[in-house]
Amino acid sequence: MKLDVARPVFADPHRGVKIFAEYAGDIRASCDVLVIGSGPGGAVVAKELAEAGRDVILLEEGPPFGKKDFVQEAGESMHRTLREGGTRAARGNLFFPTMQAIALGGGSLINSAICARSPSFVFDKWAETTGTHALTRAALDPHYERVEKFLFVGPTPMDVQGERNLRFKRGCDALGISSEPTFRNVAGCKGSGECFTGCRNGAKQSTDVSYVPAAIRAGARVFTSVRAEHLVIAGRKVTGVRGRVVEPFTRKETHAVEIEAKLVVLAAGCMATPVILQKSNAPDPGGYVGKELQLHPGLAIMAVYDDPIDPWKGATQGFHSLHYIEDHIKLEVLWSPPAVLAARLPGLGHEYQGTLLTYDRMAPFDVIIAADRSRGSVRAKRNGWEPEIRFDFVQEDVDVIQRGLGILSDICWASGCSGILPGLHGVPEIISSKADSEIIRARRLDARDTITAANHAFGTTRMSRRPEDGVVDEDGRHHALENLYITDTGIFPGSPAVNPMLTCMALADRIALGIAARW
Amino acid sequence: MSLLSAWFLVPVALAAAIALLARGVFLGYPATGVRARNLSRKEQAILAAAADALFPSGGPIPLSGTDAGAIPYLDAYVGRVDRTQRALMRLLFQAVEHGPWLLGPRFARFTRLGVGDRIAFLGKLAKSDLYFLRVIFLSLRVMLTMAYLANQDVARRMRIETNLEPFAPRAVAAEALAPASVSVSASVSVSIRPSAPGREAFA
Repeated sequence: MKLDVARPVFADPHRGVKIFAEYAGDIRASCDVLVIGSGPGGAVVAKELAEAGRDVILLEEGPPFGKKDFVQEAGESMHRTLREGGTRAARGNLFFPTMQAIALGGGSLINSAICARSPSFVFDKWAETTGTHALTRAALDPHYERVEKFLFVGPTPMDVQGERNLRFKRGCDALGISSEPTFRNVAGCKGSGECFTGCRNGAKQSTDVSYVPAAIRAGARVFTSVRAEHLVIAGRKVTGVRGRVVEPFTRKETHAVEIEAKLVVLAAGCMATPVILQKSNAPDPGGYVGKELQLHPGLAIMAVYDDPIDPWKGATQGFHSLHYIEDHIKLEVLWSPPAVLAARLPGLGHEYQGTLLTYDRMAPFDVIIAADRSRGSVRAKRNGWEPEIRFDFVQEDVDVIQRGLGILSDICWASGCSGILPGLHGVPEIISSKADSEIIRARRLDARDTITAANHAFGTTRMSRRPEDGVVDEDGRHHALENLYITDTGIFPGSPAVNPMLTCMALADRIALGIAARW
Repeated sequence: MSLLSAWFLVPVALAAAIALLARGVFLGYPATGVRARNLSRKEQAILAAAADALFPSGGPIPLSGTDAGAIPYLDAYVGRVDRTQRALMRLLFQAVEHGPWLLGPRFARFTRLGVGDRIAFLGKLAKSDLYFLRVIFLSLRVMLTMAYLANQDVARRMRIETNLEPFAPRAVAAEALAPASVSVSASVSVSIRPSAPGREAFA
């Protein structure tokens, strides 16, 4: 695939980014707009407002990662790029692993780059929930287009799909289930399957190599390794932010940071933004800060084939099916660092080792659901800056994911597999026939029978028309603090039904243009 | 027996019980020979026992868990996580070590069991009806599997490839598959392949 370069590409996309080693003492600065968080929500706002002529400072707690900084080994990679070293989990009726990035570029650095527009029904449902009637799919479409164009979003080319993705397509085709190559923000993907540990090919257009450099070119100042801790609040306004310089990886705190700003945009992520608000004692008229956490629970099935398919070859998530999206079910191909998926293979001792040797004949497929009935919360701990996360996966939503697993099982068999590894408690570890796999549908699953994880999170600072129903209004502005905006996925009033990054960026684009027009 | 001698026996029995408990909990952990910075001698012993139960030597992949470097890997891993996570990990290691006292298959700590009994104990955790025990097993298995697969020889035997351009034209692919096993070409292509035996040798 030829890279259609619509913007200048520098040898060092992070040129101008301030890094930890450059800080010799406390940092004091002032600006028009202070943006906290360089992920999909923050980077878009920083670029748009810098290009609109505002003096912008962008803060990021994590360090920048260049292509040479990415490592493929699972433990090391997670330690370097994920909060709590990748061991973060929500607690509730089950132990729920959830991963959030700590890096310049945030989640866009280590996600699989899927860019999907949320269907219209999502916005209708949001409007029903919190009265966001101005926020329709038609209203957001121009912003989707702007983001897609800037990030070279397009379908995953067939020549980098690899067998893992193609078998999924084959299964869907055989059953008449619609499927499509995922649209992704990549340019020149080579199908190395390393999205989750960072793209060493430099193909992924994560915000650290797209929006952040554009913001810098427009005059924005970018400080990495700076953790925003407290908003400085005076009456109905935020006058700035206090924080700390934090050493990469060791998380040791060093210099103090104080930045004055005329307008502040919080985009620290669905888990961190409520913590900053809570620790700042920010007004919360509706009482929704940190509440209404929603996730996209996901479960994987491993299909086993008679012939090698080399799952490590091919785009990380090159194909998906939106066939059941109105039923809250999205079906996908999955890949991750091999050790992460291998840990759920069956067997102990020599049997386990034997299973590992068949890894090159396996393909993981997964189902994620919009768990509309399940809720959680995010709360600041008394000590430290990591959130306390709770989430209860209710039975109605478990039933939905079980239905998705049944469909996924059918896709596996239709794709020509010789066995499946369902990874469910109380279900045989290895199922060798389609007839036997009916147990996946027949046995009523409890949440604790599953090994469920979720990395898509939303709702903790939700958008609402009325102050009593949420935290920010339809323009992304805090209901009680007139110069504070929020642009991360926390503002979603509910599930976006698909992967949230593109909708987050489109919303951020809309909010940024709104700020530029009004202020 | 007189009342006096009975009262004398109580502290003796108590002392013996404490000594036995101390022996069962703290003593009898030989050095593993690994210079660990974060894991205690006991924790190293627990993890070595677990690693070699999950990945015994001489099997389909001949390397055992400890041969593959599980202890240095986990020592570094434990050292990297924050204090709270580290405390939880240490609790998990203790639960594995002393779990057989409650769950069997024998009344002995994990490190004193034979390989077969260790596998039986891990199997009990894996299939337990108690969710909490399954989480302990899964957490342990994730850590040990990451450690095992981090070994290049294990990854090579599993035919795991790290190739930046897996679909590159044949000429480039041939270069990447050269016997040197790891090649860094101008386009930065790194490929780990079995350097001597072919695919069928490990099937």
